[in-house]
Order: sequence, then C-alpha cells, then structure tokens
Amino acid sequence: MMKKYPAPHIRGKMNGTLIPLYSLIALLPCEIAAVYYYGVRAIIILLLSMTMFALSDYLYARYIRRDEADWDTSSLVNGAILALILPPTVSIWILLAGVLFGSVIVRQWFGGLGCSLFHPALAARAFLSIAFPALVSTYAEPITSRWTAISLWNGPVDTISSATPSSGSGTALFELFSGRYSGALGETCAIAIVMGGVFLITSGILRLHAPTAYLLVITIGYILSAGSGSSVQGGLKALITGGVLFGAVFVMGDTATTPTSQTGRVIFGAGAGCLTLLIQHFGNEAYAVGFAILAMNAVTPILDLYIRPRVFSKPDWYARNVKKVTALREKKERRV
Amino acid sequence: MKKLSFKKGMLPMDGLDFSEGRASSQERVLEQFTPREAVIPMLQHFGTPAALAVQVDTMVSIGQMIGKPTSLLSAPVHASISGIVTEISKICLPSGITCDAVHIRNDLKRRMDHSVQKRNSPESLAPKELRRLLLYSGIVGMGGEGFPTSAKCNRAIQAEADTLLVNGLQSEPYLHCDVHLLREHADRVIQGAAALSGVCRTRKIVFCLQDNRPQEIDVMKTAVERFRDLYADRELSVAVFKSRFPQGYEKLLIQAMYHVELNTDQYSEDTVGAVIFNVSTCAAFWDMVERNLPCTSRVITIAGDRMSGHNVLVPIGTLVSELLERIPGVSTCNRIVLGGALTGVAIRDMNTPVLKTTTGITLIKNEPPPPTACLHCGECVDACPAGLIPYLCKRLIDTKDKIALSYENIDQCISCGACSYVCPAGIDLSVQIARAAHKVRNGGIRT
Repeated sequence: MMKKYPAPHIRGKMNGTLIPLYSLIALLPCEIAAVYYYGVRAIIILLLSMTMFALSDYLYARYIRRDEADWDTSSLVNGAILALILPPTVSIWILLAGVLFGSVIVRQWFGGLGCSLFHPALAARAFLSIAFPALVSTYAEPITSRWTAISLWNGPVDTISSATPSSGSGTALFELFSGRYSGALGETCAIAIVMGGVFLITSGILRLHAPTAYLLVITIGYILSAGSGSSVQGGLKALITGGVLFGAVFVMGDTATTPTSQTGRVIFGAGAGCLTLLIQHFGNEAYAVGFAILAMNAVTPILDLYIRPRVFSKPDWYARNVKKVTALREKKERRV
Repeated sequence: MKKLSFKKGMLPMDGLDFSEGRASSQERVLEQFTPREAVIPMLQHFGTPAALAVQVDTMVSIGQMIGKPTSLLSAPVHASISGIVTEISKICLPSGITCDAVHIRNDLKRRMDHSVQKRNSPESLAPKELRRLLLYSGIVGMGGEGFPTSAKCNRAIQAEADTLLVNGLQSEPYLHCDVHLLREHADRVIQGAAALSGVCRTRKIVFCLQDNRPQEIDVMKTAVERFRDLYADRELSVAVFKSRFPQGYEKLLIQAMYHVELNTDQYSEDTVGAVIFNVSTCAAFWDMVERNLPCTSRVITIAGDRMSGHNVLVPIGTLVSELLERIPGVSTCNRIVLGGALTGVAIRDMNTPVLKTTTGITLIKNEPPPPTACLHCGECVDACPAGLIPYLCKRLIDTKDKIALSYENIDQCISCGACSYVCPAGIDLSVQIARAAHKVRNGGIRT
C-alpha cells in the first residue's frame, strides 16, 4: 500500500526557493558596482544588511511561529535591496534600525513571506528618511574614499554632501550609464541594473506589466513637462536617476506587494509613475520613487479585490457582482 | 489555417516530452499484451453498474458478455481474455467506488466468442442497426470521461446535433495513446467516426488536433481526402488547435471552436449542436462495426518523467502490477498514476485493473519540493481556464469562510490541475478547490 498523493503529479520548473535565489543573482551586478564605487564601506553595508535581515527575520519567525519557520532566502533579497537604496555614508546603527523595522514590523507582523503589505526594504528606507532625515540624505562622491570606513561608526563626516542625488552634475551619457555620480549605494549604475533586469526577464521571474507601465508613464511625463526642450539625454536621465530604473526592475518584480492580475499590475505601474511625477514636481525629489511605490503597495489589496478575471460562461460584470446577483435571486425565489 | 484556442491555461514546458527529448513516439504497437489474469469490474462507466452474467468456474471467451446493462445509463461488460472465472469479489476502483469484479484466469488460447466475425459490408449498415451495435458494444467515453456512448448518442439525437467532433487533443504531458491511434490507425478512426455520425445523424465530422503534432495532422488530412468519396454525404474536415493545457476539455474545446461558453448545466449538443467523441471511442466502435468485437482492449501509454514512453495494446482488466513487471525502475518510483500526470489518480494498490477509461500509466520519480507559503504571485489566476482566483479560494477554504466562498463561483472549477502545476510555492490548490466545487455542485454550500 502506497501513500496517497493528490494530483497533479508534476510541477512547473519555477519553485519557491528558486525565485529569491535568481533575484540574488540578478542583484549581483549592482552589488559589484557598489563595491567598485564605494569600496570597503559597500562590502560591510551589504553583508551586514543581508545577514542581519535574514537573522532577525528567522529569529522573529521562530519566536512567533515556533518550529514552523525555516530559513527564508527572500529575506536576503530584501536585505540586499535595502542596502543598495541607502546612501553609502549611512552608519551601522541607522542601518540596523532600518533592518529591524523592515524585517520585524513590515514583514513578520504582517505574516511573513508573501503576506507583507509594503515592500520591506522600501518601507524601511522610508522609515529611515522620516526618522533620521539628515543622516540618510547625505551622499558621498564615488571612488574618492574607497578604503575608509570611518563614517560607518559615527555617521557621515567626510562627505561631499548633496541633498538630492538626482540633481548631480552627471548628465553625460557615460556618467548616466556607469553611475559615476553621487547617489545611493547601488541604484546609480544603469548598466548593472539593466543586466540584472535582463537576467530576471529571461529566467521568467520579472513580469513586465508593472515596470513597462511605470517607465512609460515616467517617459510621457518627462516629454509633457519638458515640452519642446525634451531630448533623449534628458529622457534617459529622468528614467535612470533617482532610483526609477532600480525600482522598476527590483521592487516592482516583488510578488507579495504587487497585484495578482495582469491588469492590476499595469494599473499599479501606471499609478506609481503618476505619483512619482507628482512628488518629483511638487514635493521632495529624493522621496519620489520610494513613496510612490509604497502608496501603490497600499492600493494592491483593493486592486486584487476589484479586478477579477471573467468567470467562465458568465458576463464581464458577473465576477464583481456575485453578491448582488445572489441577493436578487433569493429575493425573487422568496416572492415565488 | 487558423489555429483555434481558448484563453488562459498554460503550456507545460518541461513535461511534454514523451520519450527523452522527443514529443512523440514513432514505434508501432506490435502485439497485444497477454496477462495471466484479468480483473474486470462491473462499473467502468458513469452510471449504474452492470449486472453479473457469469458465475464462478464458467468458461468465458473473448467478447463474451459478462455484465448486462441495468439501465439506460449503463454499459455492458465483456470478457477481455479467454479462460475460466476463478472468483467474483468486490474491489475498490481508483475513483474510490467499490463494485463487483470478475477475476478471469487466462488459458492462453485466445478463443474468440462465436459472435466475433467479420461483417460483409460494414459501411452500409442502417442507423438502427448501428445503434443496436453501439448499445451492445459497451463502449464508453474512452478519453477518461466514461459516459456511456450510447447514452451520449441518444442525447445528440434528441438535440438534433449536426456536428461530430473527434477529440484528438491530448494536451496532457506524456499521454500519447490517442495520437498514436490517429497516426497508425487513421482509417479505423475515420470509419468509426463516420459510423458514430450515422448513429447520431450528424452531417459534419471534424477531427481536432493540436499543432504540436504536425505529422499526425498530415496523416489525417490525406486520410480524410481518401475517404471523401466513400462518405460523400458527410463533410469531413480537420481543425488545428494551439497546443495548450487543458485544451482537450469538452467546454474549452467548444469555446475554442464556437466561441460559446457552456454553463455547468448546459450540454454542447443543445447549445451548439456538436457532440464530442474521443479518438479511442471511434476506433473501438469501428472494431465493433467491422468485426463485431466489443470493447475488450485499448491502447494505453506507459510513460514517466525519467523513462521513455511506450504505447501498449492491453486487454481491459489487466492488473497494473503485471503490466509493469518488465518495466525497469518501477520499484523506485514514488507514484504510479492511472491517467495523465496532471489529472490522473495516484493508485495506492498495485493490483488495480486497467479500465475502459484508463488512458495511460504515468510513473513519477521526481518528488516536488515541500510547499512554502503562498507568494501572492498570481500565476494561478493567469492559468485558471475557468476564471477563478485559486489562491483566494484556497485561503477561504483554509479559513472555512463558507459565505465568502459562496461568492467565488467555485462550482466552475473543472479540476484540471493547472493552478497547482504553475504554483511556484508548490501548494496543492486544485485538489482542495475541486473538492469544494464538488460539494457546491452537490448542494453542500449554497451559491
């Protein structure tokens, strides 16, 4: 007598452990670029962020769910993304505060893997930029001080600070693509991000609905605002700087915080694009991408609820109005 | 030619290979498998079980009726090997239903029943005669559906259907027996379909094939040309479908063909005037018409994820354990599945017989990784051909939220298994949803 197994008996290639693994591989070019530009500081920040994120995730999951929890590779991805969107001058204490907020409050309090409402890394970054605005908005010039790690202990001291990374002098095409201008640790190098994105798309993890809509809206917004003065170089600058490309590739590919339907993902991307443009024009440019995506994360459950696939053999509106239809039918039956 | 398809669904990328690196097998079926013993259950169809017509120690021959139909929704059962009835016992079928079964020990003489003999002019039989033959033959929907073919024909006659669709869309991975019949026995399939169209009084006959079988499409097209003169009063044609899972399902076939979506209580005969038969059903009926040989054997596929596949002609009632004796590596298999890898039933007892509805035996060695939490990725939403939201249904089933579940149209589930296949977290979505859908359809949860 053999064990009872439910159908189906074969599974698709993609499985839950492969997705975070591939995402980690896709983040490698960005990490290499960060290490090239910021040297030993980047290495320390990256390793610390990843290990601490995974560790606090695991420990807290063990604490609340006892022995059900096991190592979750996707927390490593979140740790790496958090490190890459922080400025290189960030001190260890601030980094750890962000890691704890991201893993415990944003991830585990909402239910862990696949349940988080907000993207943990982005939410941690937003928390840091509200709680420590001065400490996390000072950026260093790349390559200059690669082998000093002093600022890691007592905060930014030797920095050439510029409050808004995207308004740096780097507008030449080479600088735009190589990312050799002051900005966050890993989100400046466009070539590395594109490499990671191409890898994610070819391995079938990144669904293109949200990123395409997002980048399209940003481009249209740039053309509308620049009017006749729009150029290819300016358009590329709008697409690449300020973490727009990084957010589109690595944050919008996250499964837990984006809608499940294809239409929902397009709306998600377009909405995040509109919000990014609004914040860039009327608010703080440095917060634009992160807060726009976080706002759309909050909308995700609503999009899931109202954008439903058409039920087989039923009209378009049926899936959304089953409740009403059932109530009407019952009323009719009662009258009969 | 325009390719027809339904929306959604999925393409099993890594599982379509039938035998190492090839999508299909070219080998011919040479010989019929000769079992030592056959266990023939009385309930191999949808409906009421047949009544026993033999006792222990009766000598039976191939084609002799051992089970008589008990109602209109029933089918007779015939002996598939010649020999002596050793035992009549109750056995449990893979579907979980218990019924009587006749155990026959083979005397290896292959004695045919006296009624099995070649007919002189099989093409020119009258519809009434064909209908009597169909009722006697015990043919049921051999694609796995198991609905008695004679009852289906009655439904088609009542609804005055005008098209007969021959379903050759084996969209499940590994399964190959229908495609094999189309390639090797195209004449039998076409003539059987023509005979069935005589019973159902349909004028058009359409052969449905998938576009990943180009060789079979060519074979069918030439065969159709050859038979055009013989069946001048019928319209024979071949329709090509996109290869997608689950293309072979009745409702999805109708949707791809006619762009009409059938509700759970609608039949294709009433709505679009089309009656669907499987390729194996057609071929089996031609045996009956030509040689008066009832449904006693069928071609099944033996394949697996780590072995190359074979098509074997097997008498009905052969035990799976005996059939797999000479296949290497069976003892190391994790699952032995009766049917396809996506919708089949993993058998727990190796002494399960091959039924009329068994399309194949799939041997599975690879164990899927343990499930993780739902990633909220939405792959299942894109794959579900019925338009459900599987991850949400699963969550509502887990939380036992019956009121919210009743608004999810869960009764539309066709239990194809596409959602479980694509799920990256490895959650068993389709089993639980299909079970809940079954409950809803039987009035358990109000919709």
